[in-house]
Amino acid sequence: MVDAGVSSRLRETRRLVLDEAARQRRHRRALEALEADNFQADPHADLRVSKLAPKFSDEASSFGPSRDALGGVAASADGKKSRKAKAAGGSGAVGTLGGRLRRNFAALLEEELARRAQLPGASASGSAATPYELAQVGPSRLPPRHFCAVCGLLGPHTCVVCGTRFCSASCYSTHQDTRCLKWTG
Amino acid sequence: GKDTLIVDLGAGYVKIGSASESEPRQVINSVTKAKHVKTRVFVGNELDECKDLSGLYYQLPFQKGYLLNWELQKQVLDHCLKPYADKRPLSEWQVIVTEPCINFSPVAEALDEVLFEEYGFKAVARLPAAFLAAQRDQRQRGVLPADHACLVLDCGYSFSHAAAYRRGRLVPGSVRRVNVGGKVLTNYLKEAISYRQLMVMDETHVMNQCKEDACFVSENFDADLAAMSRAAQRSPLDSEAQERCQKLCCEYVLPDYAQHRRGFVRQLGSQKQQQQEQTLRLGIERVATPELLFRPSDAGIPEMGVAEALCDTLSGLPPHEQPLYTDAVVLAGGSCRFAGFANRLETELRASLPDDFPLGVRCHGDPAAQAWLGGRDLALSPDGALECYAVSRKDYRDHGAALCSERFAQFT
Repeated sequence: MVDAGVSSRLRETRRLVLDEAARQRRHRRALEALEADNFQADPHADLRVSKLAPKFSDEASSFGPSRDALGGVAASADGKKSRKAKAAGGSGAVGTLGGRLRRNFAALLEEELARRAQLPGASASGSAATPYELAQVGPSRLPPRHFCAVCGLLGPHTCVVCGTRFCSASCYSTHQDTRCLKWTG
Repeated sequence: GKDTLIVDLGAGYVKIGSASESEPRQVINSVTKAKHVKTRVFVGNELDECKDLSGLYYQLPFQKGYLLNWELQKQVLDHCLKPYADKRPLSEWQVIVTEPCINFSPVAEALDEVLFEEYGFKAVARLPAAFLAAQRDQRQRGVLPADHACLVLDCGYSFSHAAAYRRGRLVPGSVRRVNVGGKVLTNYLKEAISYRQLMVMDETHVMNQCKEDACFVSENFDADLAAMSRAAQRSPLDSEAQERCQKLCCEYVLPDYAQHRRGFVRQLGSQKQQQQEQTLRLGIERVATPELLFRPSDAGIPEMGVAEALCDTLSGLPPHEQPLYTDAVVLAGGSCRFAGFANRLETELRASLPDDFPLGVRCHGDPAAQAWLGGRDLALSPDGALECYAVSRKDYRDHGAALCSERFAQFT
């Protein structure tokens, strides 16, 4: 067993094995991380606006991330949070453009779907897919390759506990010692 | 005419210039915050004034490839347009502005509204970037508009699109989107390095430059992988495998902002590591990163790659016309800039197409500038082609947004 030499106390605590649902969740979170614009939090989030700073609009929110000294809006990596930080700033008109512009991509897509559903003939045709959805490519015909998480070369073997791939016994022990269930990306 | 501005509004960069210029200026489309500079933000290329580019925090007007945040975008556009507005008031300029292959009406309408009402341009033409790249191809190769057919592969920051253009118009239903672009590639590289060597998850700017400097597309990724695996196992390598390993393994010296503002690739063993230097050891990552464009499944993304997507587009076209399209596969977008990209694409397509189909991967210069150059060609075209696409401010005032959607919709 690769575990030889590891104390039985450690072996006890490591009996946890991730089930398929947990692995899917981790995979989804990994994919979301690939789509992020920033990894870290806003470095200016802790700035407090001085009371003397001119207030441009009544819409300045009292909750959510503070504005930096120039009244800029702190947009966070999580699109959902940025709805709360919707301060109008200098030119209020441009910000929301009469409220027509959706701040969030998910909301934009939802609105487009709703609009399509209302078109005549939509109910007759069953699913009214938007051009955006229709353009989405399907899965590849080629089988996926798997790479060792530790060294990046081919990873034919899978960690029993978390499902991460590795290529050799040495990469596996590195994975167990330092990364298994500890890397949160 | 010469009083036209071409603004290729991308999620990563804005490519802007007037029709009298020969190439666009690339402005990062972000209002960026620096860790140690709390008194200001850096709009667009003001970032050049920032001394320490570590830990930069980006605020992007675009989300998932679509322009949603006008508070941020207005700041960047104001910054970009200033030199032109100083020369001549914006009301005397026409503007060609780009949008994604497939757009949403609220996004399109908002863009029209800002251009006409906030900036007051004389006339606006809102055209897809891929369409402009097709225009560029047609004019560069001197093909008559009526005879022109091409496939456009536009690999940008948020995603990549394959689309077919015939006689200057998008072939309906031909657009395919792969959700891999510069952003995913940089994040993938960040993760790989952070996992294996040094925590760089916060260093998007630096790792993006590392990607641009060190990564390239392998002409045979599986062979590279096999060679590196054998080297890792200390097995004997034949000369080809040795060559592959030597080509891949290198050092990347990270910037220290005292002497170097940008990192650089250094061959192994060419110089002893200086005291204050931080370096990365790069190997298979150099090719594994851009490989995602061809095999998103390498990162667990359940999609086909750009070559397959082009074939998918092609399969929807009339069989007897397909050879016309394969003869012109036009590259556009910053993520096509990787060394070896065109070569690899040709290899992959050649393997998937019938022998008797002509195959021509066309790269008319810097892929990132193709849409902009297409816009400039359109603006300067002696036959006044821009007229049929542009909407004047007067018409916008009289007929409203409906006219814009109608006039521009012929391309989407």
